[in-house]
Parts: sequence; structure tokens; C-alpha cells
Amino acid sequence: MQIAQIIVWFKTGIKSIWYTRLSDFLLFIGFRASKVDTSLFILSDGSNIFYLLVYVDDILLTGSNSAMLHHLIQLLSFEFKLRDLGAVHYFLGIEVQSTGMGLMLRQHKYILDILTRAGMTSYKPVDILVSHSKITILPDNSFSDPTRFHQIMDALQYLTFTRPNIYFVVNRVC
Amino acid sequence: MHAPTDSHWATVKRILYYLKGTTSYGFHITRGSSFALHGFTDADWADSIDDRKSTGGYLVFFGQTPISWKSGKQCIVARSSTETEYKALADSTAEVIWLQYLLTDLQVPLVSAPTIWCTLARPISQQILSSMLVLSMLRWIITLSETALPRKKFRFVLSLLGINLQMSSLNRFLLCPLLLFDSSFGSILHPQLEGAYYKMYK
Repeated sequence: MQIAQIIVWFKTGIKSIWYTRLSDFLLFIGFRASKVDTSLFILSDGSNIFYLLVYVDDILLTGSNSAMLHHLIQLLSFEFKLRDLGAVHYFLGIEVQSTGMGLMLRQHKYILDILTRAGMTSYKPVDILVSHSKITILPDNSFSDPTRFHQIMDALQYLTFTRPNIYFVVNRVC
Repeated sequence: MHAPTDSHWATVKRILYYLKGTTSYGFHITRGSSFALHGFTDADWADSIDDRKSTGGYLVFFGQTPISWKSGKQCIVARSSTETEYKALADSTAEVIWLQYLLTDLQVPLVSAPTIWCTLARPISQQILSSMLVLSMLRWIITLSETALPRKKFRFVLSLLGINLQMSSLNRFLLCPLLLFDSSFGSILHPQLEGAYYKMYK
């Protein structure tokens, strides 16, 4: 399956109104709403398939036929004011880079943001994660800044999307 | 976690050191022609020195790309290594069924039945293997509905999942659904398996 991604940016205002308009329009041109995700729409004509994902005012569009994909974007631009941002490179804090073999997903900038928030930019890096058996949570002194702790934990949870290897330890600490 | 302690923070710092050293690491989605689902499960036994709970997890591949994973302490204290493997297997089965549903919704053709790989102690016959898988599904279904289902409903739910019902050992459990709640039932079956794999029955 050939994959091309386009992010479309809507200028229209209030979410619920334009979302209804958008979904009505998508259903009109042949998309069907996904059963598992209300923000996903699927268009299939037997040989080609297209997915359209809506997140607030960003749209991620991908499909198996690039000519028809451009046609779809044109159709959308007749109906809505939108800006075509081309191939996807950043979506929901995840950097997307196309390699010859597929797609590389990174959260490089996101990690740097977490480190800045934790005030740890000047710390020494290590490249080995703690061994699972060595994680012991002792009932010792309570940590002085629980709010900061929770903020960082939430950020780390989101990071497990592209870093499955920290999944265990992050959930162990939560 | 309502009251983080200094040891929590020490672990978080350790994660952050590691992230600092590996900021450029990423996740590669590989283009491929295979649309097969493969689940891999594993578990240790009572390895946590704090509460003797086991750690289990799974990793589900779609083609060559992992698309779903979980790793964590199990919520029960397993009384045998088989039971902990079994729990991990049940979790991954539930996940694979969900992914199957998701892929059907996305109109992705699944050419073959999903395969779930696991590691248990010694070889086991296909018969017990398949009935164990059915049991793990039943357990999952029952846990979801939180009630013991009557026999007729069981069969209906199983037929929805496309599961073969020609298993003699199953009847015992169907007649006694409450047994499925007993966390020790995994060891009743005396499973012996090594490097064998589970095939879901279409």
C-alpha cells in the first residue's frame, strides 16, 4: 500500500459546529464513520482505501492512491477553508520521518521538553535503563513536590507510544 | 499514585537519565506485505520481592511492526508459574481479539488466523492447548460481563468468536462456570508446553 499523508488545517471556528458540518460532508462524499473511533472516517471503493483522522482542527489523511488523495483534498477545499501542509512531519507531538522502508516515529522534542521541565538538562546521560528486578519502591519519605512528579509521570506515559521499552518501568512507578 | 516517595522520584530520575542518553531513539513502522497478526507473551513467576506478584506482558505484531504492547505486574498472586503464563496469555488473547475487530473495521484483510506465541514448561497436546485457549477467552468474557453466563449464551458468544466447540474438557467448565473465577484453575489442567504455539481457531 502506497502511503501519502497530508495534514489539513481548518480556519473555521467553533469545534462542534464545524465537526458536524465536516462529518456530514464526509458521509455525503462516501466516507463511513469508523465503529471504533468517532474521529476516524474510512472511504473504500473496492480497490482503494482512504483513512481520514480528525483531531480538533487538524486532519490526517492517508490512502492507497495518491491521485485520488489529491482529488479528495480538492473536494474538501471546495467545501472548507483549509491549508494543505503536505506530507506529515509532526502530529500530536510525534515527529514523523519517512524512511525508504517505512515511517520513523520519534518524540525527540517532547523528551527535551520533559527534561527541561524536570530541570535535568545538565545531567549526565546514561544509555542503559534500570533493570526491572532492581526497581523497588520503598515506603520511605514522601517526595517534596508531588505536583511536579505527576506532571512528569503523565508526560512519560505519553512517551511510551514511541518508546515501548520504558513501558514497564513507567507503569511501575505510577 | 497519590503520595510519591523519594524512591519513586529516584526511579523517575533514572528514567530521565536514560531518556537523555537516548533522545534520538524512535519507533520504526516497517512497510511490509504481510498482514498477519502475531502475539508474543511471556511472564516471570513471583519475581517482585515486595509482594510476590508476577510480571507478565505481551507484544502484538502486525506484519513486522509491533502495534500493541503491555508489560506490568499482574493483579493476582499466581500460585504456579503456569498460572502466571496463563494470565499473560489470557491478556494477550483479549488484545488480539480487539485488534482483529479493529482491523476488520479498518477493512484490512487478515489472510490467516492470528497466532499467539507463548512459553510454558513442557510439551502439551493440541487438545489441551486449544481448550486452554478457549478457557482463557471464556475467562476474559466472564470477567467482562462479571456474571456467569448460562450455557446457551456461552455457546453463542463462542460462536461469535469463531471458536471450535468440540472439546470434551470444556464441558466441565461450562457446567461449573464459577470455577473460572478461581485463580488456581490454570494448574488443574497440568499443561506441559515448550516452544509450542497457540493458534486461534477460526
